[in-house]
Amino acid sequence: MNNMNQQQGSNEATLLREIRALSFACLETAMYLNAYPDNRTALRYFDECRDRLSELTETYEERYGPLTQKGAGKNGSWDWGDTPWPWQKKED
Amino acid sequence: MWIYEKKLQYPVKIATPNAAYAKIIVSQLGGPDGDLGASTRYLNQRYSMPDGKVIGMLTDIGTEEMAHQELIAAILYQLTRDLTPEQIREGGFDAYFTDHTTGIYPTAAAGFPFTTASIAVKGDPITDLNEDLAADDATTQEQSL
Repeated sequence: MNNMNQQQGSNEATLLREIRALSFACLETAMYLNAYPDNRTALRYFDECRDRLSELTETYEERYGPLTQKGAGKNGSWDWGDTPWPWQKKED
Repeated sequence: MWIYEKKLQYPVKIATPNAAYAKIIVSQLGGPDGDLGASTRYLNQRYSMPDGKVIGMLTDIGTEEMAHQELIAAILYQLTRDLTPEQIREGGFDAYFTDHTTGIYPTAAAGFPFTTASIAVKGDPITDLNEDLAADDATTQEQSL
């Protein structure tokens, strides 16, 4: 967690990479929990993932635009269609 | 109910277009073992499952397969971006291009359009879960080609 400030302070691509990684970790842990719902360690890990993910998602949406429809319009104008769609990005 | 996330599950950045690759990879979207079939299979089989945990698993996997469709479509989009007529012909992409230009059309590499004839829903949990296992293994084989 020492490099947290560095990650948060860096550019869109880095932040999105972090969000993507956390998102994948959440998803895979959820799949594991579907099969092993009583595993407390996995549940704790899922909680941590989810909290960190929502924190970074909020930061991302404030700076760079919406990741979900509910994240749109945060800067006072309807920007859902203004930022590039995922397949249109030149850098990631 | 579903919610779209405006990001790919995994980054796709293809610098050089390649029509020949696109011609093959399109099967992972709309072919008999593609991701459209996979999500359709899981999301429709779940209604007749007797156990909430199994329904949850099929819901999550079927949803993830939708994200995979977008990944494959992004790959196809970037592989066919700015192709020249020569590249289209040389890559064997001319037949697809005649029908769809570079639009993303879910089809098998062999040319037949996506069909639910490639999947099964029987309403019996053991039958359907066995079909899922077979389908998953077919995809693994295809991806190792």
